[in-house]
Amino acid sequence: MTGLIHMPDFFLFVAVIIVIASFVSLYRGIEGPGIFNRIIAVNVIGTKTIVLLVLIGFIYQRQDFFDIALVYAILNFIMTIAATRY
Amino acid sequence: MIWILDFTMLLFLVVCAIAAISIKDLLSAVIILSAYSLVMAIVWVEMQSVDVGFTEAAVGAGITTVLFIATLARTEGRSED
Amino acid sequence: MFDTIIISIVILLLLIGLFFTVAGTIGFVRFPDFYSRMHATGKCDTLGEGLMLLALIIYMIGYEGIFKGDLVHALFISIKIILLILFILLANPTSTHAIAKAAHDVGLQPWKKTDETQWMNDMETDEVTNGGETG
Repeated sequence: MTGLIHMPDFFLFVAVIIVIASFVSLYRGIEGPGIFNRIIAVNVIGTKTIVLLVLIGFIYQRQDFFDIALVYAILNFIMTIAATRY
Repeated sequence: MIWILDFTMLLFLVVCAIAAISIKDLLSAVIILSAYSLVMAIVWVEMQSVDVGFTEAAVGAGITTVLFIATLARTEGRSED
Repeated sequence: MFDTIIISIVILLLLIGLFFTVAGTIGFVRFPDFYSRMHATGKCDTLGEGLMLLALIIYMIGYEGIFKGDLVHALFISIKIILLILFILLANPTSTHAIAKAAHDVGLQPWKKTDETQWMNDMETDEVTNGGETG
């Protein structure tokens, strides 16, 4: 059962890579010619932050983070719809 | 060991803030700000404060951005300055 | 012996999910046009997301359930994550569709390989002072 102990370090590794990936998509978000590229950029970053939240919940072994991830999934969707409505 | 994640996310915030200022188009700035508040909530959660993260998530993406977009719908989309 | 199987499954799934997410991001940055970018993000992110969360569920069941013994608590928690996965699988494509429709209404032409120069006077390059993005 010892293998299960230092799993959080691996989660941390995955979390850092996700943040780097969201950096890359932020680059496109800033650089993007039109508004729509930026909307997708925020959408992409939103989905990445959801996974990040769940991962952080696992790293800290505290399970009350998943509600925030759920809220985020819904809000990201609302954000996209609001942006496209305009 | 955990501070690597903190550091990268804070860097992300700084880049987001600078980008939000330097963008001409207002709607894009609003959208970048919503990304900013998204990651801000993650930083709150990272620092073990769940309730603040919750409110930041709900307010930042839910209300603030929608209000900004609503005002933008009324005013003109591009800033002249 | 049992937990090594779980760990290997979790690590494998996490890496595959990570691969798809990173591939989606790279596609999102490199593609020349708005519509092709949407292909990358819409599909790859959702899949990468689903795989990673699935891996976390398996880890949850393995860690909480067998290691600490309270399987009920673990299952109760993993139901939340399953809901999360289902919602993302539902919400992501629809939001991508909404963006595509909005972009189409505004009159954004998809980028064609042939008209390299025609792309310059496209609507979206009004604020891009430098040369064509693909140039």
